[in-house]
Amino acid sequence: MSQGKRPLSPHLEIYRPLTGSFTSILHRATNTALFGGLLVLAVWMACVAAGGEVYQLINEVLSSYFGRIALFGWTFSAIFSSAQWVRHFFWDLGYGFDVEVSKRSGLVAVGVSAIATLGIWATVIARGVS
Amino acid sequence: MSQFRSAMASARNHGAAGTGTGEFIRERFTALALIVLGLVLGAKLVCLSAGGIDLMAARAWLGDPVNGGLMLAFFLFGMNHAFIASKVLLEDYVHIPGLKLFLITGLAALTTGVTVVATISILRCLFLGLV
Repeated sequence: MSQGKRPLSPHLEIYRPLTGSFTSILHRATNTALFGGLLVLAVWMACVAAGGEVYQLINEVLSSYFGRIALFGWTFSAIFSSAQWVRHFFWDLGYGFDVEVSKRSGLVAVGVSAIATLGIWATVIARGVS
Repeated sequence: MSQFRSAMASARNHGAAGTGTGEFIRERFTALALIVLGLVLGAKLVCLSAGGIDLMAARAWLGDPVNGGLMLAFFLFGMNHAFIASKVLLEDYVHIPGLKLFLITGLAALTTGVTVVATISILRCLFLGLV
């Protein structure tokens, strides 16, 4: 194996906390969280298909305190991941590489995601949706 | 070059294997599809949960051909995207070759399994509505 000579991706602790590295790491983290979310969604659909006690159980888990926190996290993850991909689409087309622009778009992505997530959940809670 | 050479064989000591572009493009198109489908399904699911999600309502929703079809597309793109994205993480941060291969194989099995579970669940609800 010539593994030792291959270039490596920089490890997480090497980065100085900057907008670029922060949003990149956050994107990887939120993507992994969303993978977990899809697993749970698949389990939920299987429970819907199965019906009976299994469906009661998944409903209880999802509407528990822990379930709500997870749903809140997935909401943020989905919005931030989408926002980060929009930045990637611009980069792929050759725009937005300027340091200041890139820094600003990163902050906008994080800010918009946080505000949108809080907005959605405020609406849900205000309407009393279970 | 013989087509029987693996991507690894052509990459070893020669730089890039030249097969990564397809995955790069696929990652982007699945991301775009997921954003569009996610917006539609997110709105639909919030409307569903607004009426309280009892079993019959959930089955009727998932058994609707449009909802079920969108959900199926969402899972096919989602698992495809999750596989590529998670494989990148394993390739970047796991440096033991055997373990890396083991984990990527497991990831492939997991994403395939979830796709199968999702597909069968959706189809079951679809056919429950027909009988």
